[in-house]
Amino acid sequence: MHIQEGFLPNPWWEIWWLLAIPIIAYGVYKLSKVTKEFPEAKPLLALMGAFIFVISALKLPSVTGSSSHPTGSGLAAIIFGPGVASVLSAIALVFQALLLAHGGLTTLGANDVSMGIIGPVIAIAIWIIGRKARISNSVVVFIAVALSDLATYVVTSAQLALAFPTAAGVFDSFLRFAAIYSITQVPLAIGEAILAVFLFDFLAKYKSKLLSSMKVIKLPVSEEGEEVHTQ
Amino acid sequence: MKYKYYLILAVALPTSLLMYITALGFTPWVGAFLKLPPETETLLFTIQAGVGAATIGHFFGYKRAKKGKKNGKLEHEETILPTATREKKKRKTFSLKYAVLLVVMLAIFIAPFIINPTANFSGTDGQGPQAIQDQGYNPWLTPFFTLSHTDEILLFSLQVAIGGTIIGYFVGHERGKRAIEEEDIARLNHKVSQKE
Repeated sequence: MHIQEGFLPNPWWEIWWLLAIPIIAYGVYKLSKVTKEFPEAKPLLALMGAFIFVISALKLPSVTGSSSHPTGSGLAAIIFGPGVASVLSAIALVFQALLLAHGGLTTLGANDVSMGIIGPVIAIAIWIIGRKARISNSVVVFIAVALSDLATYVVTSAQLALAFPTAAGVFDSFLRFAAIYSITQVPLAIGEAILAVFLFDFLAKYKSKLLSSMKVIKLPVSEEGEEVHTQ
Repeated sequence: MKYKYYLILAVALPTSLLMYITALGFTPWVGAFLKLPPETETLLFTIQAGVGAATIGHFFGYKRAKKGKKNGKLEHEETILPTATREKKKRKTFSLKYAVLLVVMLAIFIAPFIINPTANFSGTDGQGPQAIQDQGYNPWLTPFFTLSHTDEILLFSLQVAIGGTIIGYFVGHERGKRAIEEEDIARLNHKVSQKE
């Protein structure tokens, strides 16, 4: 979803920056609140940042014959909320823009809106719905992460379509960009979701007390890291 | 042996890396006989970097957990195992769920090479901008530097290695703590059974 440096013309990159800044600021506030409330969650925070770092650096091949990056921000959103996920994504994006010439500083706002804000919001929405419906955690994590990854690329397509409408209009342009980005992304989204399930199960198994005090899951959990629903 | 798995990885990873580099023709001894699309080449380097870094991180994380125990600093903060399973712990070594997920994941990432053996797997990061430039748009700002292919491999590997170390350390630390806890419980159970 990295829109390259200079590929968003004049009004658009400012608009996405303006949208991203208040949410990143809110994320920083949330971040300091979480670390104050749960100091023992700091390693977990580092883990989520590292997960985004690793996942977003992998250029994975897709059945369409092209390759792309997964995002990794969906899992961070499930555990810490979308605000914190937007900050962690922004850190990874800055690193990639400055050191890897990948993405860019002017397009950082747009990239963070797609990867760090809308994707995570989708993830947390599905997570909340899934928990209300009492579906198994692994299944919900899988769907939430996969759809948040896909949503990221749909948003990127929309961002580019808005900036570069074709003669037939914005929607036509959107379909064109979606054909490039979103279809390639489908298998990658599934792959990322599987990795996220591995990591989430590990956390549910080894960090269940912390996760339950952060109100992510409820105790008790079984040995496989699944919640045991009493009653 | 205690460090069996570390040892296997410590031998296997450098060997595979060396073979890979040789096959790609980065060494002076033989020409390149493995032809991979650039994106795939980078991916395989980053995966090896990630696995290596995660192993090192795991090693130190596990050590740290044991050391914390020796200094008496480690407390059993995590007491989640239900008491029934605590007493008789049968470790499951094989889980069908994870096996299926792993196979699906590998299939997803190997299938493209079987379906599309001749594809160049160019990144969508490049195709998107290309489509825009085809419309006649030129970026008003370009990155102030560009990376050669080798630089890109190194820096992406670095990024994965940083993340991999942290993940490996975290996982190792947690597993180390849990192993100590289980040892303590086993000792306790042993004492109880002796008294009886």
